[in-house]
Amino acid sequence: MMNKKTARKHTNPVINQLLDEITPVEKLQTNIKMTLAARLYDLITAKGWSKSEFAQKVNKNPSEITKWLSGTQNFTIDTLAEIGVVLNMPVAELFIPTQDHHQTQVVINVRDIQQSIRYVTPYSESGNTF
Amino acid sequence: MNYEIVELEIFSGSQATIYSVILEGDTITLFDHFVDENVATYRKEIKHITNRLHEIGHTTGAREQFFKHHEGKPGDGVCALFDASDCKLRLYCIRYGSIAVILGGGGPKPDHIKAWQDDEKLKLEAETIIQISKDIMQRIHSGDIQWSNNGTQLSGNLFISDNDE
Repeated sequence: MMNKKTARKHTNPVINQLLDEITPVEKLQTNIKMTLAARLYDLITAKGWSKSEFAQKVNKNPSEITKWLSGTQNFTIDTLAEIGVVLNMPVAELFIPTQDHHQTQVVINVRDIQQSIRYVTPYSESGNTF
Repeated sequence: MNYEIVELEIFSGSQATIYSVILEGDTITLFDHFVDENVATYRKEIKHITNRLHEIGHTTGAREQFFKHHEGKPGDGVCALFDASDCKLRLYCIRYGSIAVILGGGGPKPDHIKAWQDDEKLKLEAETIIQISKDIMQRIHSGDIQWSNNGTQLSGNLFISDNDE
């Protein structure tokens, strides 16, 4: 009969110890590099640019952009300023974490009541939006 | 090749589930071997790799941009974890979208080689993970292995045996 179980969980004390040895600063450095890279990738994609197009805009080789997006890059302030100008946004906004990509599915089952659909326009403080 | 797919609890989080495999007759995973073989010489790199894997599982997910692709056959998902340019170690893995990764083994990549085919150790590790990817793909197609309801975990018969084919 087919086993429907999920994978057995495995731990290794050596790996746990290695993780324990990582200092809070090192953890934060890795976190910043990876979340910044993720954010940068999403911003470039949102602009509809390919990696090569973005590379052209910042006068770099596409291989350099691959490195930037790998989450290993230690960006200088000068480079972040260049990126901010090209993306037309304040540098501080590059550090806003990217939203969770997980898909959420909401299923609403309606029964025993009269069904209707109501459309509501966006809320506006300036007056009646209907 | 007979083996079991196991979840590496320390790395798995809300963003990605991280797996490795234990070969028949062994007690530790391919990733554990990778750590054991390299921790003495490349301790800093190994710590960096474990730190990144933890971030992938808990914060960023296994985004495509964090991996070097086309290490295996077309479409098999075999890749290597991207690391800083001055790092020597190659860690091979299989990436399933941004939600799951199966870690294989790896080793130091000598400066004089261009591809894993040029180094016996890397060749062995890459060919092992390529075979694992092929096995898993076959079992997903046959329904022996499925993605769990929320799409983040493998379930089903996670003991892979040559006799199953």
